[in-house]
Amino acid sequence: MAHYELAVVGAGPAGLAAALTAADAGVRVVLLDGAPEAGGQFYRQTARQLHARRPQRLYHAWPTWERLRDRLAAHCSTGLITFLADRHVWHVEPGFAVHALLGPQQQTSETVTADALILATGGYERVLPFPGWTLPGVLTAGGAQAMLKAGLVLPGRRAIVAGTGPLLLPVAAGLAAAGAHVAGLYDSADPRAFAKHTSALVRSPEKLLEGAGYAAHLARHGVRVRFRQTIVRAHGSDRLEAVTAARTDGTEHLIECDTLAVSQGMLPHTEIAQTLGAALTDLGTVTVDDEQCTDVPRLWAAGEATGIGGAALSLAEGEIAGRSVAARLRGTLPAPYLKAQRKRRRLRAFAEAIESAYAPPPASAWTAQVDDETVLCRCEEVAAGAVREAVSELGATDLRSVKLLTRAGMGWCQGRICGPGVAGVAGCPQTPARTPFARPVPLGVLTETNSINERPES
Amino acid sequence: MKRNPLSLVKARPEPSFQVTFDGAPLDVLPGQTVAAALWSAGVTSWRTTRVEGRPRGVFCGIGVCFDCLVTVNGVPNQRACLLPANPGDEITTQRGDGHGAL
Repeated sequence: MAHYELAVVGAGPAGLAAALTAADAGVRVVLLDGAPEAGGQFYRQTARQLHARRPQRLYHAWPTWERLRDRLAAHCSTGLITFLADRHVWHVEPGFAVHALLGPQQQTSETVTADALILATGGYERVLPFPGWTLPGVLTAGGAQAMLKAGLVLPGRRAIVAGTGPLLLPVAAGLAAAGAHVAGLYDSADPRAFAKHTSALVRSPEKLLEGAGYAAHLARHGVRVRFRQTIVRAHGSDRLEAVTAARTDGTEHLIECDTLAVSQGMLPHTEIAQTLGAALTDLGTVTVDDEQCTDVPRLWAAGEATGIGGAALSLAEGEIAGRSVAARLRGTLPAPYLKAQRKRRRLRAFAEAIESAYAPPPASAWTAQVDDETVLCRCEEVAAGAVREAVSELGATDLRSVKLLTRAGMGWCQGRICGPGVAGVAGCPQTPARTPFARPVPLGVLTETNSINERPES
Repeated sequence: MKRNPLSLVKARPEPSFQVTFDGAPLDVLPGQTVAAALWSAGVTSWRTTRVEGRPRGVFCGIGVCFDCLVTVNGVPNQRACLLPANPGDEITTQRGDGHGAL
């Protein structure tokens, strides 16, 4: 079992910045990621065998990626960073032992140990349920983008991008640039909400410019952005054929499409942090202090897992975490790092303003559209009617009871996808589910994996 | 020529290879996942659910949701969005849990 001073879980912007900064200070690092290449979701790499000669056309801030990539290669060649790709971390024991399934088959597991751990596990998208959302052709906005970046493929020919949040702009722009006909971008947000946050927004002009760039790109492709409109139904028998868009005044219209890329913001991956006993905030993100330390000794967290805020904020948080680890491992205090700290403060304020302006619609607004037949839990095929019955007839008052009574959240994804939908329809608070393992694990792996905390048999 | 993702990034993919989907041959570019290969062929669903027998395909696209489960070379419950396609793969629509009538 290889031992390192620091293990970093996740090689997206936060994890890369953390690993590189720690290695710059001489720390021996192991960096693990589930994908075949570093980059995370933001810099998800096109498969090498496709030999993209202008990959930057699918990415924002490509020069930043080139610097990260080159620094990683340099540290890997000196052996200071060991990068383990295709490793899906399913469990971390205190102390720390990091157990990872070898991808993509995931039938075997391997373990590395480390004195310190940084969790840079990122996030995934929230999609609120609506009738027809299980039809093939309906997918997450980020999923459409990930498939485009990695495999250079499109989900269909005529796409609608919808939901709410800053991710919708680059997704629509990317699909249009790659040749899809984007028949419209429907964002349920009210643009007037941005006016309440002008001071936080104007202090990050580069982020505003990024948004303006996407908007100009969409305009060039003739894609109209419509605010205060929601996709309330998807139609089709065995695949998506059309969607119904609704305005706030209740008027509706039908739009033909074969693809609906939808999301209502991001949710953090916090399973490993929770298993290790780290505290979460009311928003369900990992609680960290100024140094990105969690309340568990020698456990740090950075990036989307500690608050949704985008790649630039993740980079700043990763740098701060990396410097903190390097100092603390040597028993010293990290020197003040004003540049990254100022950047973090400014970008967090921007993220809070964006999060507030792009808030997902209140449950009262969207649950009215969800009829009793609408499937909420996609894995276990539990419909809204069963969840409502669990509340009204059987007296469930929390997500756990709803799950035990209906099986909603008990399937493959462990409630990651249906959690917000079930909570909204049931009228319960959305409590993060506690799972013993961060992902499904074959039983054979469980029996073969040795715990570092196990007592030898006498 | 109409723009497509490959032309956008000036890709020069390695020579394609063949796989089958429910017995029909498909051309796949090296490096693409099973899901990307099926999308390229215009296929958007490759599983029917256990209870209602409804079609499913890619939903999250990043390995979180398990909606895109597929049977490849007789092994069911593999995530098509993560699994790279390999020459000669026999990809089949997964019905229910993929284990047939037990």
